[in-house]
Amino acid sequence: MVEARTPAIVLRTRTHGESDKIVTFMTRDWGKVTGIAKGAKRSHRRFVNALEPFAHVHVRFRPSQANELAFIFGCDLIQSFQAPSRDLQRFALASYTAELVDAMVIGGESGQEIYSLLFESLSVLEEDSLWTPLFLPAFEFLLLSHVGYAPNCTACHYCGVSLLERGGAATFSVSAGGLLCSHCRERGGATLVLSAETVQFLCRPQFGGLKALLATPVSPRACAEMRALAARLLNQHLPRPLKSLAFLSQAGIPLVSSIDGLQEE
Amino acid sequence: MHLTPALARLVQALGKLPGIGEKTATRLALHILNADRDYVESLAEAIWAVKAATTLCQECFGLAEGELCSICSDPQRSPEAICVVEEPADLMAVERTHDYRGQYHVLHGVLAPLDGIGPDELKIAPLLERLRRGRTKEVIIATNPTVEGEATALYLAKLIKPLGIRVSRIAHGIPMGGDVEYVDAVTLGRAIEGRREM
Ligand SMILES: [Zn+2]
Ligand SMILES: [Zn+2]
Repeated sequence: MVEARTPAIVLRTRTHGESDKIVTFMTRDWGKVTGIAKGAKRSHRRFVNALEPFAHVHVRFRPSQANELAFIFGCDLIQSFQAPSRDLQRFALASYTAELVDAMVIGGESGQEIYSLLFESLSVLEEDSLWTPLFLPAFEFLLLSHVGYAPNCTACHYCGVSLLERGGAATFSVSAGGLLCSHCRERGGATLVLSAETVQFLCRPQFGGLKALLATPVSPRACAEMRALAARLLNQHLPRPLKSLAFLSQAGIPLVSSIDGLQEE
Repeated sequence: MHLTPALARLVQALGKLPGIGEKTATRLALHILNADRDYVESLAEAIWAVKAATTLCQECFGLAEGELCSICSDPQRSPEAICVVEEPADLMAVERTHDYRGQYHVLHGVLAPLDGIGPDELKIAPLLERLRRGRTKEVIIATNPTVEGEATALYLAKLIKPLGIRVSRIAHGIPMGGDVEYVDAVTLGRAIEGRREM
């Protein structure tokens, strides 16, 4: 019997029958894994506190064929993030990031970056000093880029001119799925105007990780533009609407400060 | 094993009960077959009645027969305290302590964003309506110490505190007869945080 062991973060848990739980993990070495933890509701010994959403764990499991449940032998807690149990907005943000990862990652093919991104995100939510309003768009852009859906932000989608060298504002075209320079913007249909600051930010290489991105000073306006852009890109690729978004508005929990003054044409 | 069609049907039905395997289901089915007619009829009637007669209390949403449950209609139970629980089974657990003389409110779940369960899916609005009647002085939140149970507690506290009502959370900690050395770090941390003066 093969037993896989890997660090992982619990994305979600569901009770199954009287005593079992079905748990979805974002693992470091095996991508996204969904498995059954037999007796998890009764026996807290094998799964002490380790099958809670957002828990950072070592999971031992028998991998399965595609679309079948893995069998979870046991799960040991490495670290339990406290912020989601102590602050509603952090709970909301953690829920949203977990659901977004669950929705955007298909299965075992994802690499280590997404696990690291999620771990970093939960660590940021834990530390007040690391928190900035850029958290959400930065998380969304990194996730989009890790799953291969980030648009090319360095050049105009139509004429190929370098947006960084050219400077100035640009627009994002939903139909073209890319950024357009000021000359080509007429051809783009419905667009979202992005200021020079946002364009500059998006042109940067994004691979310093989440904490490095958050350390970059950004104006509230650029932040809101990036959030609007990320939301549009996610809408194109999400297989289903996110349940946590409906929850957040129903519960009156602000996910981000309101996005005002964005130009949409 | 060879079973008559009626026995097989009963074994199958009993086998769906929690904790009952095929062996136990067969033993129970044979026991029922051999029991006297009066007992079997009253058992069947009791099973049918529990489904037909049980309702949710209009006040606390605990289990009831009729409009109000036995706790809400008991004048000895103080309306000054309301203990908020997730499920009727939790209400029964608190009742078993025999320590609590206030009333209850059953939410029928917890906030679970990933399952699409928000405030509207829980009995939160009727709770606020009860509180606005002004007889309640304290709300004790006894949701489970899970991430979602804690978030639900935070959410309720946010809604209830502005009404000028005291909100408390049940303590989490080391079980009686437990051993500090073997308690997991999260539970121990919570126990220290929730310590009280002696
Ligand atoms: Zn162009
Ligand atoms: Zn009642």
